[in-house]
Amino acid sequence: METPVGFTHHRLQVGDVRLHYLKGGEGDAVMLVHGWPQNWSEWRHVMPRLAEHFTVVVPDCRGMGWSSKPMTGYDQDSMAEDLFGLATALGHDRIHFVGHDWGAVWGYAYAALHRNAVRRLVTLDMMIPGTGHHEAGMVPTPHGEFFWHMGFQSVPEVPEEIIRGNEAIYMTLNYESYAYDPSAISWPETRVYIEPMRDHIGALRAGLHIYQQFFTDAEQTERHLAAGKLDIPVLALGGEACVGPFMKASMEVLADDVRGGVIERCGHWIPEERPEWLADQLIEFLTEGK
Amino acid sequence: MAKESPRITHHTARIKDMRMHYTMAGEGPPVLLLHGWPHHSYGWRHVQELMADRYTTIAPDLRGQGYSSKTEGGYDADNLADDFYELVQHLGHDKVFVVGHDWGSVWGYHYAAQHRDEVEALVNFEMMIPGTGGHEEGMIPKPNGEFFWHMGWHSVPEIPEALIRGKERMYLTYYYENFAYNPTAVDLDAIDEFVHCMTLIGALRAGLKIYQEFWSHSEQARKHIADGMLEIPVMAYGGEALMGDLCVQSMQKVATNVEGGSVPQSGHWVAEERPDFVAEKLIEFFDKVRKG
Repeated sequence: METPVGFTHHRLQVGDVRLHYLKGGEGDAVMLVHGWPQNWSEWRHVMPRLAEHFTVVVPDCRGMGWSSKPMTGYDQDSMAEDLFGLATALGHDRIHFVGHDWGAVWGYAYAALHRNAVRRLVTLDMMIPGTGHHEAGMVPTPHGEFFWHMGFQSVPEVPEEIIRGNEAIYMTLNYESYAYDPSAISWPETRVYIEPMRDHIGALRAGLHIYQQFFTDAEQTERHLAAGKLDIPVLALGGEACVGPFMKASMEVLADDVRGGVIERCGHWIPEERPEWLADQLIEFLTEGK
Repeated sequence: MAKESPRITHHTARIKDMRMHYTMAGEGPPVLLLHGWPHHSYGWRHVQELMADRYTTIAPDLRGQGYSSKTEGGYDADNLADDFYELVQHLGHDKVFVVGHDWGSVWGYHYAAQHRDEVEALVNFEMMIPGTGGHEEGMIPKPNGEFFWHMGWHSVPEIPEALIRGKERMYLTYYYENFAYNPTAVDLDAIDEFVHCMTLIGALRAGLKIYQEFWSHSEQARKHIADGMLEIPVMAYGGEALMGDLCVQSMQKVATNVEGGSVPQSGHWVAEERPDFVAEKLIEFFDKVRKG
């Protein structure tokens, strides 16, 4: 694992969690937030580009990567509060939030809980629990062509026991099956995700906790929505080989100003499948009107 | 050999493209006992012993399970039911009573629907028939794992097999314990026997195939329902700790003459948790049907 040029590693205690994060660049703050089963490293190709324009903060979220693995706190609002605590401690009262996969969910929660703290929100390839899109995709259909892992991983205890010892095949399956180019995350690159999940005590449990909280997350979304839609500009992008148009559709339920759509020749792993294109889009959207 | 009554005898027959293992016990009119997953004929041992003075029980191992052959294909409900029909022909019976537990009840329904004049009566313990809506509803994810998640997960090709392999005992024990009212009823000797069979080459793959075919089963059932409701006597019981009255409700969607209810102090493993209740209800029901 190489540290991207211009970035340094840090750790900070935020409430009950010790967060590991990288920081580099100068300017307005941008936080790049990973999903599951990944960690900060998924942003490695876009970090140097963004650091030319922004202060870039790239955390490992609670339970993942090189951050600590508390027993609780994996619902979307708690995950968002960890990141809000990190940004605040670093002196960034307002940030641009870029979230991929579950990172997009926590980005929505961050912006909804702290309505003046996010300048612009980018959500990548994840339907937000509570808007109905994910819920529809989780209903079983033939040939395994449904988001079966969402339901399976929401079950207490069993998936952890079944996946343990099988981390490599299970995670590789994710990287391969949700990609447009199944070799986009090459197998040597998967080590940076597989080894922390396999070798850090509590990592598998912690990651699966996120899925157990799906229904709590959906309730939290409904409460935030009842307080009003987001009024900040949102860029919502889905890979054609994965979430596709449902990323934008899901965010349109939650925010008034949503741009974006479908990314061609891309699956779920946008920062690794289309890093140059993504960096262009992020720089354009986040510097708009400056 | 696992422990069972000396009245139970073991047999094999060449049926279609497979070797079928089955056990037999007792004397009297023939009763076909069809097991579910993760099970084989051994699950019926107590019931076979309790019924032996009144009825001849025939308990086959499903294609791919127990000691029957693990064929590549043939796991749709109509074909699985036809395997059992061929066994009954092989044994020379014109009409049989058909009893199912778990998936066995699905094969039982498809047997009766395909051979409407050759089944005296049909019994379902602890199952909803795919295509009648109950299972489809129960498979939708809900909080705290309180949905039939294994149905959806097992329906995914390849992945469950790869993950369960090497962990069969832990995985199967989860079901024997969690789906029970009496979590010790499927005892350690029985678990040895069930795990032994699930670790035979091809058994795990074959068992999961049943789940992958869920939508084929449903489609076949809907065709049978469109051909008309079953008019033979039907009895359905759910364990009070698991499916309860859902089994009667499911059978009322495929048959006109349904009785039954809940098995007290039982979960899913009725033939091991309450073999006394199961045998008594079967004898009572079959006696009544025979009297007309």
